[in-house]
Amino acid sequence: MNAEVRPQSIAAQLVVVPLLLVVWEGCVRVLGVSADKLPAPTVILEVIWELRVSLAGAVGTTLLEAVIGLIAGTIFGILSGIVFSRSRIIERMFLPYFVGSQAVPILAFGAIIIMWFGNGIASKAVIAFYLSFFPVAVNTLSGMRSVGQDEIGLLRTFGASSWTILFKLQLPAALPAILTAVRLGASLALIGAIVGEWFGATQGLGAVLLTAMYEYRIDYLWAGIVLTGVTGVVMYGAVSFIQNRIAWWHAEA
Amino acid sequence: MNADGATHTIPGLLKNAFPPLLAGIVLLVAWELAIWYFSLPNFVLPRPGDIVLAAAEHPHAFLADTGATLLEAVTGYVIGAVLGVGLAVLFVALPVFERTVMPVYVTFNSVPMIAYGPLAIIWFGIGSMSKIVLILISVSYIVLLNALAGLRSCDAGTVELLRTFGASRKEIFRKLRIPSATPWIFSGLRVAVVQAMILAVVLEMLGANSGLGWAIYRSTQMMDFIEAWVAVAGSVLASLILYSIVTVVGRRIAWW
Repeated sequence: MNAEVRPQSIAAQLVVVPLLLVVWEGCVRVLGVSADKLPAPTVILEVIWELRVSLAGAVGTTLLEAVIGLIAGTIFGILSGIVFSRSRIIERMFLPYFVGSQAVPILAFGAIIIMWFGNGIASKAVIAFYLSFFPVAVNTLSGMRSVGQDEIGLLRTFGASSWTILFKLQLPAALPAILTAVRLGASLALIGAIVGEWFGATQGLGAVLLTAMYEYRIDYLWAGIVLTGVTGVVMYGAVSFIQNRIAWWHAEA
Repeated sequence: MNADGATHTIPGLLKNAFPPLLAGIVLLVAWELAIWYFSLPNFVLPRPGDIVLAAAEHPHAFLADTGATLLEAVTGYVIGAVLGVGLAVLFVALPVFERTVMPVYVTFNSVPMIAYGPLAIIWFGIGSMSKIVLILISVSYIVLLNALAGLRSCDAGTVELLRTFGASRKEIFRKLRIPSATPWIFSGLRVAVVQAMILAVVLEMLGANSGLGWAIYRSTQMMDFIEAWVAVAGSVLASLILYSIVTVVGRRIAWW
């Protein structure tokens, strides 16, 4: 029962969002809201343009941390899903913890990761890694379980080895579910990287947001918010693109 | 979620709970062994027992932090849940609101909510207000999406049937739409309760006077590993308790 935004709402966004920006701009200008309460969209864009070099660096750093973590999380998630599907006892022992991880704020462990791995890119990548790892593992398993015993039996009668069944049948069948988890993982990885940067990092979007807060620069802060949103949409879009390309046989909303 | 009927009998419970318990013991032993084998100092990886002892040493501070975080999370959660369901009913009853308000909501929520954290701190201060505001926005969005999907999940045929029997819109809402939406709403409420806890803890890391996230931030600045572990464990436990409450209440109310 996962509710998603309906396509109609997304189409309506194309109309409403520009309108919203115009109203926002108009209100700020007409009512004379001071820029340190709420800057107008054009002011935010100006700041982004002015500081484009350093902000591009911040986006790059955060993106790198999140993507390294996401890729590692995806690989290890798929591997653990395969292990789970092979061993009933390992699944019954450890899967409850994987599922349970979604009921607790495991992001909080990020603080300990920072203390262990220091303040570089590695610690944020590790946070992004474990946040994306759990959903990918759970979905890999449930995707592989969606294959019927009949199909497996059929391949086996044709003499397929269990590796062939894994690569030709189970993993392709699990791919849509895996990519859905990777899409969720992309959002989680970005959040993990940003929160990780709050513990004293000097680079990245998290550092931009924090600096802006301490220095009370609201326009710079909004620039950070907008770029975080854009980075998130790009990561999500990239995974959706891959999903439509390689898992086209199971078009899933 | 748990369609396994066997969980409701005691032997079934044991059968289902035994493997994860065994895994828990394996993990704890591995934890202890790692400390012993690599002779890790206590400040790098404290023993599980030491974490419990450290929490018991300052029970007042620990309970006060947990209480502060829970208060923010629950307040934002309850207001957000009511707002989410209310908006969903409004949107279904008057679609013009959905067409105008929903895109704004979607746009606002396409940025990870934590990115608004520093802004919330500046606008609403480092007290609990900044946390409650962001939690209620995020929770209301999750609940709204689920409630909307749920209110629409009853099939058009049944709606038509009730209408031919002369049921008013209001009656259709009360007797058909709300009951069929309830499981969906609770599914959203379960996701949202975790989100509320995450936001409470993470926003406290940014700036706060009390709370588990604040304790986590303070202890990392002082490299106090045990204190950090205590606060992290506290947030995990608090979240599990809230999640269980929502799940149990959901099963009671939406038993169908």
